[in-house]
Amino acid sequence: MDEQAFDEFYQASFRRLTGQLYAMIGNREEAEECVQEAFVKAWAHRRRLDRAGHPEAWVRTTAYRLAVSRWRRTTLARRPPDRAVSPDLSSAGPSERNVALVRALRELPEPQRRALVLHHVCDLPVAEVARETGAPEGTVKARLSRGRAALAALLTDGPDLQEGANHV
Amino acid sequence: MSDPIRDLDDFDPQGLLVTPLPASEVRRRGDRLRRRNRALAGVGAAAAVLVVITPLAMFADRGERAEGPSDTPTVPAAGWLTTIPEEFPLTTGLPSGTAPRGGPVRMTSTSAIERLSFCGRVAWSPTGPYLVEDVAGTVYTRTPTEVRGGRTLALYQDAAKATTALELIRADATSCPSQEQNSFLGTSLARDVTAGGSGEESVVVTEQVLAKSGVPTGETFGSVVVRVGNALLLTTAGSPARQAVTANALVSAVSEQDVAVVDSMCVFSLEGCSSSPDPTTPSRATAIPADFPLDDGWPQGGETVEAPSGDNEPVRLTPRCGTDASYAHDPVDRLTARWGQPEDSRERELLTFRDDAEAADVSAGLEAYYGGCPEENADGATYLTQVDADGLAPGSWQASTSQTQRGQLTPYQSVVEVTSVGNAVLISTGNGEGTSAAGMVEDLAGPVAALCVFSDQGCGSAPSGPTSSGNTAIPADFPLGVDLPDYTGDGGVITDPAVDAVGVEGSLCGTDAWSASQIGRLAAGSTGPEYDERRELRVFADADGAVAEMGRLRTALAGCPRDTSRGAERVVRSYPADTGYDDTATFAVTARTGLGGTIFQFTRVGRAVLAISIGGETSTASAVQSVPDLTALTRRLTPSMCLFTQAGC
Repeated sequence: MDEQAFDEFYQASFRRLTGQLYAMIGNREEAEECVQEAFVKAWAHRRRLDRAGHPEAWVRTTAYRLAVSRWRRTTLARRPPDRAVSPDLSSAGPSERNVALVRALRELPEPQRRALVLHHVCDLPVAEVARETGAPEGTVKARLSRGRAALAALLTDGPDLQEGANHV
Repeated sequence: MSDPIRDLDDFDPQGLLVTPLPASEVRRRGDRLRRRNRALAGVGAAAAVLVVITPLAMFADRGERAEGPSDTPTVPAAGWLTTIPEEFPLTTGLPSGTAPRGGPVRMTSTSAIERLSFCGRVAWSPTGPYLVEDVAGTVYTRTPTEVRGGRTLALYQDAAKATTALELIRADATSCPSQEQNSFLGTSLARDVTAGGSGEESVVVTEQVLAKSGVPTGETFGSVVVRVGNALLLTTAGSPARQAVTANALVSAVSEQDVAVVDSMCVFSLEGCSSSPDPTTPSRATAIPADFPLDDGWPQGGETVEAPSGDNEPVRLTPRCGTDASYAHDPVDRLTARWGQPEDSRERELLTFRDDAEAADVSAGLEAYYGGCPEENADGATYLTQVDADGLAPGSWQASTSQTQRGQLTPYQSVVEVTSVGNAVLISTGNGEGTSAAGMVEDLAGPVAALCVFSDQGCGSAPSGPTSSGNTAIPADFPLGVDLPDYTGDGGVITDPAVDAVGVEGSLCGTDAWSASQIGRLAAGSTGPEYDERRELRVFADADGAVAEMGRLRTALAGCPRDTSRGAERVVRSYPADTGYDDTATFAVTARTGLGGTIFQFTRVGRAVLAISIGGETSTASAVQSVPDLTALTRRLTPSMCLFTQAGC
């Protein structure tokens, strides 16, 4: 991948990948930073990126791992306060509906949340979700099924998306 | 109602506000990362990579940071050093052998701090707000307290950029709410931002992790940022929850530890270091006067007595949790005395150090040592240790240890008291059934007063601390009765604020919570079925009087983990609470079995002390749930207490 190809890839996918990671981790600014960092790594490892064949998936996976490792470092390793875990800034999302959706997603177990986002937000088929998460397809299907049910229950119970609901 | 799966499918990140770096900058950083990885691989220094590259955080609402790094190399401003000298003593002051993986701490060419971030905003990183000209770092673990920390030295193009970087840290930390929620962790942070006293300018940020209940978990973080010339020294430290190191103690230890490094930063100022004092010359007299009254206050007689002498065997503090106590610095002079009789063994040792910073460091290190061992099982007994300020002098503290055998409290007590004045540290110990925390404080009045010879003020000046000649009366409209709960419908009674109303009452092992030294008083309360809330404000002649009142309370608390003075056994337990003031104490006295108890919060503001108590069917386990309510009420009332401060309202 040469400079021009990288720049085009970066400009075309940065916002999309940030949105996807935001849906996965529930923090917009953290998502943006991790995607930014993943692109720096992508350029540093551009040969590996070429070999991977799916550069966008490579950046998404790298960004997701960065996000996970950031709060794992802070919560488990008792590092100095690099304050890697950012607070809830869900209000900075693109729309009220998306904010509520992300808030509900955050209530789900991480594997279900990631599967739902990859399948529904990233439009990846089940086989691709399985490849990206390293889980068997059957497991992915089960996660999707349970995740959908849990999400529906969460959003039904919550007031955020009950447009026009009358509270009597 | 919307379909959540359809919402997911329609999730549109295109509306998301993002501010990516220019692609050229991403590539430049990628290239730098690649070079760094190669260099590290070449020297086999992979273990030194403690930090990952952090993207510049340029958010849409922070246009002022647009002046960030660019592809054009910056040209160092004339006169400013933009390369960190290899011999710069960044690891000075850190105990040897405290690298996280063992071995001595070392200076590396990477930042030890990935970034400072408040409320999700990156306030500082090696690449923002300006790309640093040079950076160095060191990471350490400070045993035995397990305080972990890192130091980063960052050089900027000039002093103006370093100043801006520091100001942005201060602004971000200050503009963020004092409590920050973290939904991922299910916790929140209570933050305090103050100006430090180091270097040309500095800022100190402390953060305490709060549990869902709002009670501090004891996990504490501190960040100290100091600027000298075009250099910033960023020091961060964190202590695990179980250590329960107070924010002030943590920052104090960090700041003292940094003193020598900050002094060495003079090389980054335009003035240089020519006017610096010779570091080999002690800054203050260190010799202990021959007539220092070290044994003043001890009883006459005694079976084993050692008069004060520098030739006596040094005091050896009893090891705690399998670790020997140690001093952060070697003393310059020493005086030791002992007094003992069966079941009552006492020691005092006065140590002097090269300067005030070393003395404060020793005190803070010992405080962390005892604070790091709240419970220990040894020889078939359980030892519970509580560390509290005792009011003898600013910063003085006591570690009081009680012993339990087969679930029963024994008469044995062990108390260590440490007072640091100037460059001197006085350590007093007491062990045995005759030891009393409160008694030790009283006995030490003479030696502590004599410590003035080691202070800046000397012994002839007026007492320190704010005093007031203003009106000592409590205004009639003081809002002590605000939001008192109303249970009159259930037969309860509301007592409006009055000087003669029943107020906060309590005792600890026979010692009343209040002395009678106040010059003004106001009380209010509300009672109902199984509920009793009381508030009391006491005003003292000056701040010293209020400080002494709080010290007296802490001393009583330290010596009373269990209270049987009223017959049935009651458990006394202290809780951390962020009232916004350092001089505060929150504790509960509850029945050991069954329900019934009261939780108290005392807070000093200037020369006044506010006390609030809530009593009812609480238990040892449930009392903690009242802490957030008490703290919120205290925070509501303390702003009105500004008239009792030297600064006024």
